[in-house]
Amino acid sequence: MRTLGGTIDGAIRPERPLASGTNGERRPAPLTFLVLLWLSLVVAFGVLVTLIVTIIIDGQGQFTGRLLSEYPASSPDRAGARPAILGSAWVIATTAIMTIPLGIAAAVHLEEFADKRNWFNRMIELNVQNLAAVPSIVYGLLALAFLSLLGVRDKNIVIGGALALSLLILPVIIIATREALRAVPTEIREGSLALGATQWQTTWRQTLPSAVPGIATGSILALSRALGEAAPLLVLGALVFVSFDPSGILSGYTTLPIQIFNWTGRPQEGFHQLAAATSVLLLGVLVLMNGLAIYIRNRFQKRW
Amino acid sequence: MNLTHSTMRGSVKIVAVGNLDLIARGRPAEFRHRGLTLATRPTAMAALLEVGRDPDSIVLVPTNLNDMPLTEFVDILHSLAHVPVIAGIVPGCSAQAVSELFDHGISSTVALPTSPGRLADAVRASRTPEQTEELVIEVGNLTLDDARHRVTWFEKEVTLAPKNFEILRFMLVAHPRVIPLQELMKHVGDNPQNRAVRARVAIGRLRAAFSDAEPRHDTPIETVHRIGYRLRL
Amino acid sequence: MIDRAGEKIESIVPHEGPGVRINARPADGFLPDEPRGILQCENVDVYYGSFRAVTGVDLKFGLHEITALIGPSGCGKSTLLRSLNRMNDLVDGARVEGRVLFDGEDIYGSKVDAIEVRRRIGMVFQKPNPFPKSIYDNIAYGPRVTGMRVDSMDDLVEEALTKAALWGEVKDKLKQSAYSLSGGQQQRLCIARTIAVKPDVILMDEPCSALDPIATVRIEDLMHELRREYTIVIVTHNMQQAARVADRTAFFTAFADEGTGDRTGVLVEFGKTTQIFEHPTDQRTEDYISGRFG
Ligand SMILES: Nc1ncnc2c1ncn2[C@@H]1O[C@H](COP(=O)(O)OP(=O)(O)OP(=O)(O)O)[C@@H](O)[C@H]1O
Ligand SMILES: [Mg+2]
Repeated sequence: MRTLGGTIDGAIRPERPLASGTNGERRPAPLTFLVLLWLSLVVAFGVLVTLIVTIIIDGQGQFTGRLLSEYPASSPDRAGARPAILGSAWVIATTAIMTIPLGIAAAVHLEEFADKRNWFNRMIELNVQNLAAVPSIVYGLLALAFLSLLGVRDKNIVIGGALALSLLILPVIIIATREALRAVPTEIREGSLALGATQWQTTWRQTLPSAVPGIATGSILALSRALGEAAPLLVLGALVFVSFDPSGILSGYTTLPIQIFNWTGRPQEGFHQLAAATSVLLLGVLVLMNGLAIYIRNRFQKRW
Repeated sequence: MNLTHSTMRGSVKIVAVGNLDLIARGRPAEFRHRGLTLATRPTAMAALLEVGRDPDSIVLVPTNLNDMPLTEFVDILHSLAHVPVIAGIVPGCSAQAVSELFDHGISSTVALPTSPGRLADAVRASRTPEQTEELVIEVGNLTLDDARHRVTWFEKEVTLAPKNFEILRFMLVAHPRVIPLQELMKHVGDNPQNRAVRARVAIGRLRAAFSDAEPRHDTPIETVHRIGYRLRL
Repeated sequence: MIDRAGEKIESIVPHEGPGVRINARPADGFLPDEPRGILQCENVDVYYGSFRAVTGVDLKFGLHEITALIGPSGCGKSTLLRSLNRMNDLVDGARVEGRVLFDGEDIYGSKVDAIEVRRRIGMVFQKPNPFPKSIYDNIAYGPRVTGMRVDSMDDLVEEALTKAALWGEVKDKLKQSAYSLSGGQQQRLCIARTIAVKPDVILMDEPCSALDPIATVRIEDLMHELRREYTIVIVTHNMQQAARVADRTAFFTAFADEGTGDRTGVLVEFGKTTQIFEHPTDQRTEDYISGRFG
């Protein structure tokens, strides 16, 4: 007769109520850790903001059309960064054309075709990882040696700089592409192969298209790193004073970081302001490129 | 189990909410003849007080109860008074509302206004198994309580789906005989297809249930190779 | 490249030739005692590197029959299945010994093209794996990459989807992404995609394990339909499913190798499904099917 009420009597009573009053996140150890995390964030962010604000204040007098349209000059009032902007564009474009196809091809080979148990392939893989961590100036020296070997006299040419920067970012692109390829589920590849597609067709029609967003993001980030480099180009003897537009891959050039480097070394205050303004310009371009990378990642990212 | 109205001893008090005319069809004497004493109360509150006074009664609630949300009243009756509740279905009541009532634990339903016979049936349906005939099979450490649909093994409760429960009961009744697969196959439901596999799977489920309940003992079901199964107790 | 593959096509069996399809089973319900093998394992061992996952399998998969592979987890069912259409070639270090004969020809023979083997022996996976493309392109993909001569791709897509009992549900949204389908529909899409390249054999590795009971019933019905035209091998953990769909059942188990300690899969028993479930000859089979294996 009483069983109807039985289920209520037998209701589960949790041993520890949810409202236990002891918040696990509020104990001393986690709290200290949290505070430390916040502190490091504040320090890092503070330094960055100070830096940006300083250069903006320094350079504010020089944000004029002249910066974009004029050639460097002996007086800060007449000088502009036009050849540096064009030079950067030439070098980065050449680098992109040289590196991206090569990097993707290398990554596809390593990821899709190479036998991963083969010692030679494993060694290559390890080396690619290590190369990504080599200081950029070393690549400058490498390119220098290579050009000398070829007997190139004037090493300050667009293709020379692009060569150095390509060597620098090739490992980065290879790694990014491999990550993107690895993120494509094996099931997709197996599905394609099980229908009688070849390995080549599977890569070309399934794996690569799915990996494009990841590859694009990685490549843009790598190129933006190359854009900010000065050291390897200086080793190649990049001109610091160029008063002509680069006209081809064999033409002489300067780039934004080198121009900045040059102007900072001048005694006149006006040049320092020009350098600051150019830095802001470079920074803006980098932010735009990173923004584009993030956009591509979010917009085209596949969710499996 | 097989109670008929003539075997119903004593009188059951039914506390009904609402107007007698709307609830009952027939004279009080006819209800008494069926062993039912009807007490009507105008409101849910009054009915609750009446139940408090006589905790062995059964409550009849019309679905058009108007002084209180119906399901809430049912819950109160169950939790405070522990009495069975019969829902009196008023024309126009939706099927969904009825199923909701069953979710709230009512024991049966009857259409209103009700005849004495109908109400007696509803009352019988609301009786809990404790009042019915009991069948408890106990062999060794295994107990099967048919009425409560409970199996215990070494004092641990074994959770079984109805079909597997039937098969275990059959095996217990047959104990200690070996039950050939063909015989077991007759007890796996009406569907004639794939009886063998269903019998085997049921045995597998029984074994799993036993080892879930008490992992320290080997399951009591023994395979007799190429013949069938037997309980080893 | 495709042309060269084309040459090898000729060297196996004439594909669309009536020779293969005419010999359908006379009627449902009649099952010869011995399967007329279209696909056959002869003393097959499968290794992953030095680990022997499966050993000594002799098995015949009958033409227009459904064969179920059952057995405890890790006994090598998927491994064996994947070696039947050379999917294991893709696993570095995987290796098959013994012979797998497709219509009398060893699919691991030196002149045989693995690509062609996979086209003739299709595979459906445990997890539905549609391509990130439209429903239409998912079906058209196989015929396109294999260079099938197709009069009308639209008709082919419709035919494949109809056979997979999916046409009615998707005919108005062929251009939508395959990911917009439910899990059960995705799995039927994967079956349709496999049918579209007109294979002779379809291998299915636990095709229903990611699906709810209703979707499972639909796939099982579909398999019964497909049996008229195709030979099906299915791996399943669900014994009732094996009993419902399979004409024959093979039971595998794993034993611990004394020397190496590896757990290697072996075929314990193979026969008509009713036979396996009603009168298994091996004690291990009987124990497994009535749940004595943990
Ligand atoms: N790619 C692989 N590399 C190495 N070993 C593997 C690989 N795939 C499977 N194995 C091993 O081979 C054995 C058989 O695995 P397999 O997946 O064929 O089992 P299964 O019978 O399909 O199991 P399940 O029912 O769980 O799917 C297991 O011991 C497993 O660890
Ligand atoms: Mg498996």
